[in-house]
Amino acid sequence: MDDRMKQAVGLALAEVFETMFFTLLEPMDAIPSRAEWPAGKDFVAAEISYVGGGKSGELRFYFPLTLARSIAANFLGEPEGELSEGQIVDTVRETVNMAVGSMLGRIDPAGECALAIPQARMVGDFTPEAIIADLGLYVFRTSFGYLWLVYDMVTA
Amino acid sequence: MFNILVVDDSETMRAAIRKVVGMSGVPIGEFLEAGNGKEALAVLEESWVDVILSDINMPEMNGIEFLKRIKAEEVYSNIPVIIITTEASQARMDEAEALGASGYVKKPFLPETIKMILTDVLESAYAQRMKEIPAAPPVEEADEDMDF
Repeated sequence: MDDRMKQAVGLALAEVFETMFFTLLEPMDAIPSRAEWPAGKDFVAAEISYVGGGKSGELRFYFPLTLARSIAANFLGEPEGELSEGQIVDTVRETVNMAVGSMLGRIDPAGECALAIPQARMVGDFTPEAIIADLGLYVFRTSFGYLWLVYDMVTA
Repeated sequence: MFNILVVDDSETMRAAIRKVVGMSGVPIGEFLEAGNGKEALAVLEESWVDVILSDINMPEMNGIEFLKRIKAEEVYSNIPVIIITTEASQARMDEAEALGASGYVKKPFLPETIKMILTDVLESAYAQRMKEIPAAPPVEEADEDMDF
């Protein structure tokens, strides 16, 4: 991922996390070592794509369930224990929508790119091993574990 | 009291907006919800709505198409529409404004932003409605000497 894109994604995600969920997000300069990876394999995976103006891209996010649950609780003002799986998944889906929409506002001021409808789902067997070799891998540290992002970008 | 229709495909976003609007101090009558433009048109057929808060990026009928449809219908065309969306490019905002949107809020938003824009839009809509009501004929002063 080039530096401009990296910065745009990082700023957009940080803005969403801080404004909507009161959660700090720190971009990592390097991929964390395996020893730092989470023990749990419960994640919420989300995907969103955009296309237009000679550009297209697909972003895949992997939220640890602890992080997803925490942001959903902050967003809805409900105790974590009372959240349904649907509310958690929908919060992640909306987070991805807001973050990538905000990113496009930065990299595509002419509004040529159209955002697709995001998708999100629970996954019970995810390990970062599956994406570690991806060139567009980007990792953020939060108080609730690492947020993993793979950004496949195509520019015509 | 104002009836508010929120159109967003995310149920959690609708719940969050409901909470923000509830805390805004704006007197709310009914809080109505729809998951896309098509569902919102069905709500409008059944209920009186004073203001609409709509997302853009939705399945079935997106917010821009919905805006076009209601501005083309005389019965709905005066309902103010505030766009609340992630699509934050100037071009998209200009398009919404040209189609008749009364305001534009970019997600992520602060609760204060929703409160401010909702209050402004409802105040101008109310003032406009007052202007459109024909003035009542002047009341003649009673003749003091009139004998009943």
